Amino acid sequence: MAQSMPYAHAMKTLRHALLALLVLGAARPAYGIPAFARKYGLKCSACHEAVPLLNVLGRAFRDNGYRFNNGKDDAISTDPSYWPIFAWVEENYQYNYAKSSKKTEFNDGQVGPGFAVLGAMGSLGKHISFNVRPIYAGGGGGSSIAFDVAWIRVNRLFDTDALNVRLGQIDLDMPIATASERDFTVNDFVGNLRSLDYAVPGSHGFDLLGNPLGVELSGHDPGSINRYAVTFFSNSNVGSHQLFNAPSVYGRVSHIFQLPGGFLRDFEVGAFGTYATVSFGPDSAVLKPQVRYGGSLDFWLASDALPLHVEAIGFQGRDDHNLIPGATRDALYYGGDVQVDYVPALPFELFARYNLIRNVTQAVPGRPGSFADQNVYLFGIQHLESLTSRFEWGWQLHYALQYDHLQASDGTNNLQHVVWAGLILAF
Amino acid sequence: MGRTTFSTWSGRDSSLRSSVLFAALAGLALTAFTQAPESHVGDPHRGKAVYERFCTQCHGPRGNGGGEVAAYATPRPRDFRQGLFKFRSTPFGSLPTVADLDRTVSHGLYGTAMPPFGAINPRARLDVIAYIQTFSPRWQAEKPGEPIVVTSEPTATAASLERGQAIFGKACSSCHGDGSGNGPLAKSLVDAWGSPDAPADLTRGRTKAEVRGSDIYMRIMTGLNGTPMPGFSGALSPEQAWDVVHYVESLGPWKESTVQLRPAGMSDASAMSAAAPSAPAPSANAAVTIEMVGDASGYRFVPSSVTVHVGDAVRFVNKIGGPHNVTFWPDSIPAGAQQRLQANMQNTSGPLTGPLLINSGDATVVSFAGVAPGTYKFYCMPHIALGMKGQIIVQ
Repeated sequence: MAQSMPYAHAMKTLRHALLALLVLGAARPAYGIPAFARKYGLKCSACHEAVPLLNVLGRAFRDNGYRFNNGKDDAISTDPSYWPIFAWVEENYQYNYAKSSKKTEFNDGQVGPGFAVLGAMGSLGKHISFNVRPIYAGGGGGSSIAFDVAWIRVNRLFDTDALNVRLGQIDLDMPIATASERDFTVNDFVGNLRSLDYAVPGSHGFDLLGNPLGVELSGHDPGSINRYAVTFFSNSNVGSHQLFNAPSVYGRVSHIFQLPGGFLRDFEVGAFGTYATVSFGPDSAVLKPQVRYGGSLDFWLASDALPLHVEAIGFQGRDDHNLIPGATRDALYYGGDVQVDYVPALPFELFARYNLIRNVTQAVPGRPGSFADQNVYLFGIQHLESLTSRFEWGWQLHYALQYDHLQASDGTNNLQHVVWAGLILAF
Repeated sequence: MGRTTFSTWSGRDSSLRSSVLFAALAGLALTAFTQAPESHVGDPHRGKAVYERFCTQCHGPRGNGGGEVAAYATPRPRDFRQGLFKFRSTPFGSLPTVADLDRTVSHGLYGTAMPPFGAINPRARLDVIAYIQTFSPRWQAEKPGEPIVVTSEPTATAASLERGQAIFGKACSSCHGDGSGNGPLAKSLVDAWGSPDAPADLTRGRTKAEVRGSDIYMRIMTGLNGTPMPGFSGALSPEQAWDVVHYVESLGPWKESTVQLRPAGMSDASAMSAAAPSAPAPSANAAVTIEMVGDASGYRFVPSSVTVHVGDAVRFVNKIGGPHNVTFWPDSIPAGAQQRLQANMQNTSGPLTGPLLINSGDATVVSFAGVAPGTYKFYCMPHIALGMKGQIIVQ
């Protein structure tokens, strides 16, 4: 049946709006940093299981404020040609097919807007580190420049690794490789649909991966076997422009167990939680909570150098009923992700992910119990190779399948297929 | 079109809660039977993959130190093929223990391109060490030397600094100068790989692998294989070595600095001429004497080639410009002679390595009794880079 012109126009506008939101909202890439490879003369694979997923060495390097503390960290001791800057250029093609139980919602493919980053990260002496990552995103809807992250970190307060302070627009210490550490683009909406990004229908948006403004206290032991991070931030998705008028806190602790041998090489146990607030009421004076807390497990199997890495998280989310129009009780749901990364041989990587959302208590009376439940499946392959310590390039191909229960425009279940291919150059 | 149904929506809620709890409990249960990977034996096959991930960029895929970074790294990455490792607990010239190599891998080398890899699993470090050991045949032919024990540290005093300064002036200042690495030989030193090898600047309070006094002690006693820095384990007593440690710690902001103990007006060691400990007098009768000389004309053995008979002994005397020693190349002596020659040398500080002769007149004797006839090539460890070598033809 032919679609009416107003409907087609509305859908086109919706797609463009979605695209623009995704570009602006999901703009948080994190690839290998050739600037570090240049500085330390290491392959990207030294710090990344598979770029951009950090391994234990990379994580310890990051926890030390982008320092190895081997006397070669400071600019004065490095090659004079070294500058702590890097650049990424990315372009992609994405094909989407979505259907409800009754009709096709959309069916098209297009070259994505792509992005370019010219960032700087590194350390200024022993106690100061920084990361400034502005992103230029192009596209038919117009271009934009936004900061992905922009922070400064004071390392080793009181001369101990147990206390470091980070201020600015911060990438929170997530329990699972985040969108920015997994997906190969800034506008991959599948990456934006991790369970941690789930927003209760009708409630205020809440995005743990959104790099809020805040202050983080963190610490670790040598080798980052034990770690903690506590971030005080403003729940910026409430439309406020004032820091800390929606005070929120996020925290995470983790411990890695290094095993003596066998198929299970190492594993990590962690716990995380956040208590975020949203301004509520006529004068925005009342704060109402959005709460998420849960646990995480990481397993590294088979090989130290080419591991099969399995990550799993499970958590509970609760939004105060005052934040949801028509609600009579708090919304309660469970979320979980399982992700598998496998590097059969450098520089290839295979990955897969399963995300789920299960609503337990619907805040609005009369809604079916499974309203807005989600299942997302993702499979992909990536090839990202350092040609020299000064240049890397890569491509990624993935397929995603997403179910959204009762979320189609006609109120039925929504099913989406996504095929995505991208190319990146990093300097 | 009929309504799409998803079977995956069934069986939700309570089972999910159980799954989350189960995952948490499983993690706790796993912690109950974990243990530190201390007993792991390195596996070179697994180590190869670790090496390719972390090491090839500098050390090269063949372990020859020829990775991409080698072109602009100073010092150059280690070439593993000779089996020469600088930082050890074992006597000069000998192979390091696995623990020695793991220490270097874990902590890195300060001020060099070698970063610390302590964050990676200890098991993976042992695996990569096992793989590194495949690059040199030395690991099949030899065992690591017996580790030198760091003796109990005496209390640092002004007197120990002065004694240490005297030894430093005699044994160390030709390279290290006043401690800043400005000795008269400093600019001419090269290592076994042909690269310039400047003496360490001891006034900075930290060197590549030395932070504490015990680290300095170990370096004095073991030396640095493949460099002009000899091991003094056969030349200095533990007490004398600690005296040198205390003096070195007075030169800069070391972690256990003794700068506060420096007597007022203490001059730098390069100006000192106090007597350093003498080597024990050789007891064997020597048929031939070879003088060890370092002067304006260069560093050399005089004569550099002698002919003796089986059963004779050769006396090496520090004439001038020490410290000197005599070390035989294991691959430049007759096959099978190594064990007997080692037994015939006095006060060895490592494989086929004679004691360090610090003072003018110090001597050591090498007997050629019971050895196979042939040519025995030798060199002076501190001055090999300056061409100080010779040969003994045994008939």
